[in-house]
Amino acid sequence: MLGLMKRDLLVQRKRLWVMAVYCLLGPILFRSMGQAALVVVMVAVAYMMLLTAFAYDDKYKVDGTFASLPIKRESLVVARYLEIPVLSVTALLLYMLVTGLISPWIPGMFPTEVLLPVAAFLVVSLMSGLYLPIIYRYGYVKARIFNMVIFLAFALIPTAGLILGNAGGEITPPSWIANVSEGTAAAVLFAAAIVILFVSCLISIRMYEKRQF
Amino acid sequence: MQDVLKVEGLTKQYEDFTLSGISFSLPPGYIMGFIGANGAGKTTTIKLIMNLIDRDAGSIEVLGMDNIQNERAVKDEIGFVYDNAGYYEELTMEQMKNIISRYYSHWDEGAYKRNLKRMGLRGNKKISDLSKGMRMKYALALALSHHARLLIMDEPTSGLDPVIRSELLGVLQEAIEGGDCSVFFSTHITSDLDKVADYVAMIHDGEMIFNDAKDHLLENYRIVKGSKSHLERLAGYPLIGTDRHPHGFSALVSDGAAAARAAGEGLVLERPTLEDMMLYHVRDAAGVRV
Repeated sequence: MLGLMKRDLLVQRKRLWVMAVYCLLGPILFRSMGQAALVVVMVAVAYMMLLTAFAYDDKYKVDGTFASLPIKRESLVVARYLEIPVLSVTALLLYMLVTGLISPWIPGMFPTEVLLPVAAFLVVSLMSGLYLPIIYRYGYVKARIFNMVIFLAFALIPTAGLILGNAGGEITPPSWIANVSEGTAAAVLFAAAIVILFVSCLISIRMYEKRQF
Repeated sequence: MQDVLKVEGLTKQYEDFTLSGISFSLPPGYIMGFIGANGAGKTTTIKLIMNLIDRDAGSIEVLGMDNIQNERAVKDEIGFVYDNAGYYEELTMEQMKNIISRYYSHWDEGAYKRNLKRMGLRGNKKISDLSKGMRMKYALALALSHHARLLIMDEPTSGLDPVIRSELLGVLQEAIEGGDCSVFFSTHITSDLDKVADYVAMIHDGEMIFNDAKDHLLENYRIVKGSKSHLERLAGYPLIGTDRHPHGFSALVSDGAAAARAAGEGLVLERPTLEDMMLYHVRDAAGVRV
């Protein structure tokens, strides 16, 4: 499993600087969003890196090669899902590093509450959870149109804002969250993200096991 | 001795093509050539053996194991070389090997290095910089580095120059020398099989046309050429792909001696190549019959 995850990192190693640029420019370009810029950065890094892995598979037609190796198709799918939290945490750490460094000039971007990173992770999980089964069912190229729909939906609907009641850059949690402690709310959102990924992963495994090469 | 590969009644139906219950088997230590025109069903058969597509009926056993129920164990015993094998071109051969090798329980790093050297490849070269011939050599080096008991090759020599084809065939012959490895080799370049195959199976339009030891095929099959009177005397005799012309005919027969007895004196018998056999059978299937 770890080998499959390392594979994607190795293949995309030359794109890591793009990831770093997103993390550097995100807080600057989206500073009007305040800490919620983390959502944009995390999606830009984690979700896009994940999709790029599929794009490389498609570009070099490696699906047939890996399906011919003594690996369970299930493992190939699970490895990709495990990359979602890994990429999300990496994006978060980079974001924290950058916002920490630029805080003297651009204050208020460093995430001070645990709720926002968890909400960002939920958004990444939701987008990935919706899209990956479609990729595993139809292949990357045919599924791209769905990505457009998902991406636009998430861009147009200020998801993080809906969840956190974010208005004008100030985080105002919605009432259901306001009534519980921040830790509880974060735990609920985190659990929701994990459930989404788990269910999506099961569906993707089913889809990929039926896939004809 | 247990067959390395045993296929029985293998069927796969598509909207416009059906693989119709094909059967064959491959004993250990031999090379089987799998010939047929483009679209005959060679790649479909290989995909079914590798469980890359679902079969509709039939069975496939590799070393006595069902290829679906024991998928991982079966694939651990198979080395594959595809015409269009995909590798991450951003990586070097060494990096790609590191990704692939961990999944084989019998990976032999020493054998891999020897195979690269034998094929004149340097592991630090990027895959995107490899020519088609070098890619095939690389695929073969990988396939031969985990003590595979069965090599499955889908059109490995297609589009390669004669020198590289000859090199690859040489490597194949070396691979089976120990008697532990067998090769199932699909191609439409039948001259490659003239050199290395022990068995030849031909498929056309999803149906098995023949499947026999190459020497037996070449020993018995003949191209017969004769006059119209010869053709009349052969009425009812199973002629394959008969080509009529103003002065007589030519056709392929599966038993040259029997045809000569039936046609009488003057019938010309020529030893066919595998290509001749394929062409006559394809012509026959296209409906040119006596």
